[in-house]
Amino acid sequence: MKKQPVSAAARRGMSTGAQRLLRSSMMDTGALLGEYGNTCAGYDEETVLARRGQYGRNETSVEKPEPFYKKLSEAFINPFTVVLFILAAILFLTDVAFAAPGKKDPSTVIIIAVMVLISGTLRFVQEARSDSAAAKLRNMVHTSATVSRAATGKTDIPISDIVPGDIVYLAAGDMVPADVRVLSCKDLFIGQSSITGESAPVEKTAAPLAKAESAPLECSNLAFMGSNVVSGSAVCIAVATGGGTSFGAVAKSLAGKRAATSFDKGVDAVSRVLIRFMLCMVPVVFLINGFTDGDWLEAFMFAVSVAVGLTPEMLPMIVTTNLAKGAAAMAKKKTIVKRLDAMQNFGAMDVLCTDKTGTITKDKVVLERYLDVEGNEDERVLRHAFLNSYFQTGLKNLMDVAVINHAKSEPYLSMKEQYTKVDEIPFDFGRRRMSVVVRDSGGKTQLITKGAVEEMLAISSYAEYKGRIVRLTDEVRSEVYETAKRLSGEGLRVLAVAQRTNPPVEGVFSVRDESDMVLIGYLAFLDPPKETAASAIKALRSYGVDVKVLTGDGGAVTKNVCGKVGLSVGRVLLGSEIDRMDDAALTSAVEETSVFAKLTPPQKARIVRVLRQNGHVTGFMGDGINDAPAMRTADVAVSVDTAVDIAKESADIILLEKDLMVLEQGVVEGRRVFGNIIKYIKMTASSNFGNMFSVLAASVFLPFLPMRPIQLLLLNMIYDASCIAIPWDNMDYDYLKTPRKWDASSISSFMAWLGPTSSVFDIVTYIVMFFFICPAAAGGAYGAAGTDRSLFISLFNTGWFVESLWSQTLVIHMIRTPKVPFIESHASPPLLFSTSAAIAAGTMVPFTAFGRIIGMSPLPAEYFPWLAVILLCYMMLATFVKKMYRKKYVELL
Amino acid sequence: MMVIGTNTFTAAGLFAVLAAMLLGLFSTYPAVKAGERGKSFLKWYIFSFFFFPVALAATVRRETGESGNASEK
Repeated sequence: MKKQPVSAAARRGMSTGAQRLLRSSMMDTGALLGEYGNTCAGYDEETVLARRGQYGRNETSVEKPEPFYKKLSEAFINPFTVVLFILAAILFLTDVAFAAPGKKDPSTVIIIAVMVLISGTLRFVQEARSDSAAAKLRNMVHTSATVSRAATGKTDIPISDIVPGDIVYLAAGDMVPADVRVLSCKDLFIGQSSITGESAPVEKTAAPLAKAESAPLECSNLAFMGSNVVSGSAVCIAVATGGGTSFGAVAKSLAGKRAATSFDKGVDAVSRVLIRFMLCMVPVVFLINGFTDGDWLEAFMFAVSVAVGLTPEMLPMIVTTNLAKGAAAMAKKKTIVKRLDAMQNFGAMDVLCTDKTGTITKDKVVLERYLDVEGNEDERVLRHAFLNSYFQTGLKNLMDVAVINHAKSEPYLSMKEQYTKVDEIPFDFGRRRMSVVVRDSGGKTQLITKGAVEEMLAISSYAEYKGRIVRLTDEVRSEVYETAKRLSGEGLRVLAVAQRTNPPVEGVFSVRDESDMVLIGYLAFLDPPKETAASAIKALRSYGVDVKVLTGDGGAVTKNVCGKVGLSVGRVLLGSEIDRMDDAALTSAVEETSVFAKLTPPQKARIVRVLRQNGHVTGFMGDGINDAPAMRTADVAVSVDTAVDIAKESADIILLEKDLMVLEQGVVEGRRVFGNIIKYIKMTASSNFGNMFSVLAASVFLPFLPMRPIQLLLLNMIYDASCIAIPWDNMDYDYLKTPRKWDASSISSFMAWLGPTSSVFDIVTYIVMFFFICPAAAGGAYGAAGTDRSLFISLFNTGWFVESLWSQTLVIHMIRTPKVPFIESHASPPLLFSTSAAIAAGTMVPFTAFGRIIGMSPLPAEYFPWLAVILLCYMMLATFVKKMYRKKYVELL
Repeated sequence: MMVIGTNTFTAAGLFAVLAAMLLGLFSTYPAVKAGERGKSFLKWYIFSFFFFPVALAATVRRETGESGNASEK
């Protein structure tokens, strides 16, 4: 049967999703079906296709996967490789393209190309592995919904195939697949916590509203995409799908480029410092060499080699490997790191904002208290509640389940045998209570009723008060109200329990028998914190991470939960108060407040933005649609496996286990990652800075180059190779105790202090080689008659090459810890191995044929005692400078 | 044995640079100590660089005096 298309008037009314939802909430079933041109039998295939063409698929994906070519280009193109590409191009022109025939030498270009290739390939492979893990996680989630279709009747289809106007069937456990208007329902309760943050399920009805509500969320006959059916069943009509839903509106707000995180800013700042340094120093080297030696071509070649040496081309690779290694460590702890740089942001984070429901709480109802009328704990109340919940045969709601789960031990288990059920009066939403009649082994019959406090007071004439059964006077009644109000004020959901012994009618009980009852107490329910929430918050605090709760739920319940997990609640700032604050007021308020309640998604995002503006590296942990904008604003977004898809898409890190202690482990791993990154940057930068001093001194005072360009590049390559193991290095425990952020200025000061330290021993090596070793081997002073000048220079170059390699590699061990290296703190075995191998390889090169090809000479035996003394003195001086540096700047790394 | 030959400029230059660098590094000691006492690190560093013996003597005397006072207390 061909269906009527949606009328033009209806389309005009659909100008915004919210207006359409509000309008549909006031329409009756016939009018709604007419508006969408549907019947309960559902659309035919042709109409479905037409409507899908008009409204698109029911999808709200935020992020599209990056194409392969973009990933590849990002792995290879960064400021450092661009510098190397330019240098390689220049060298290609001078050494190969325009070189005289027979003088073509592509070796330097090849070395640079190999460096870029290794760095880029390693980075690409690491990122591809991480992306693949995240994709596997996403593919684990498949969702479908039940709809009516003309051809197939009631059928399951993928959620993305739903179109506006589809008849959708909901049952307990289903995810609401679109924004829907309820047409008919039975005991329908919807969990909207992912949208509103409110942990208690909301009852939905089918009746059209008499007057328009101010917002769709206020409408009792609408359900929203991303929420879930807690209990009951319903037949609904899809009013909005995909981007037109409330969920889709949030998704749209997340589109576009994400703000630069602390990591992005840090890497940019450091890259700028290092490149600026290189761009300043290289022309100086070129000019000094050119003016002193007069050989401008050689001066140029040497300056280019120095530029290559000063470019930390391995930095992107080291950074990526470090991050990937951290992500792999987290994967073993059942945590998926979707964005690699989130690892470092995790370690730098000093404020973690978290949603309440589902993140620090279990997002389920548990029985928190069972109290007598005066508010004292009373097992009798629980026993009566247990009998009521256990023996009722209707749909067990969340409270019944909570009572039964709570009473799992004796004497409750044996009560099942001690009592027999006589009858029951089922729950209905009009009475908001339910009763069972039970008989014990002695023949005593009891009518036990539990329900909403107001309803229970209406049917009770007595109360068990101060150990006696008294009439329910106004005084007692007001005390009951006060107690219930106090409990509600603590964020608890309160039910009352009443009983009546030997009720007069036996056999057929009805609602009329629920009268003259004796009120015996209350049951108080709560969405409790996860077992590990308190310990995780305590652990995070001990690592310098302040935890703040940002929730859409009410102030009272939030205060209660936060108190339970050990947060100092103090003042609770509500969304309405935040709206009245300008940014200046909010700037100080966010520093003084730990708990924020009744927040809308934009308010959450605003708080996170203000915290970041205050200089905090801010994380956000959430699981709902209402958390997604704040997660997008944060430096690092954390979610849980049970979160809605949009939250998982916005997340950088997804916890697959409920254990929140993994947060602490993530923070520590993030700091270890950062420590190893900054270790490489600082040691490379200081070592390069030291080399610059040495090269400048050599340019001015030596009559030849201290090292050939090809030797300089080889030295650089061996050093880089030894650094590949840095991501596997240990970090001292002291370093992991506080949040670590990028600080480009600390790199400059580190360079200025530690650079000249290594340079001192380069100069000492120059002196030893120029005035002791080379004259002895070459037959006299440089320039003197009878001296083998080429051997003199070759030996000098080799001596500095070997000393430079030893000192550069030793500096890794000197700088990696503020403690005494090898004694108080030692490197990891991989780093020990890689540095030892680099030293061994570099020391042997001069004794090989390859060494001779690149202009080296075997070093005489007397060189090595000198080398040992130089290195020993270097370590002593480095220890002194490290100590002074720490006294001035406190932190070494 | 040290063989300089005609390379006096190289010898003088390298030794001078070495001395200046060592002085630059060791001058951090009086400057850091002064910084700990709330004095200007930079001023003391410059002072130490040019008058290292004086700055070192002043620092050592103060340090010895302070540790002596501390042990008397």
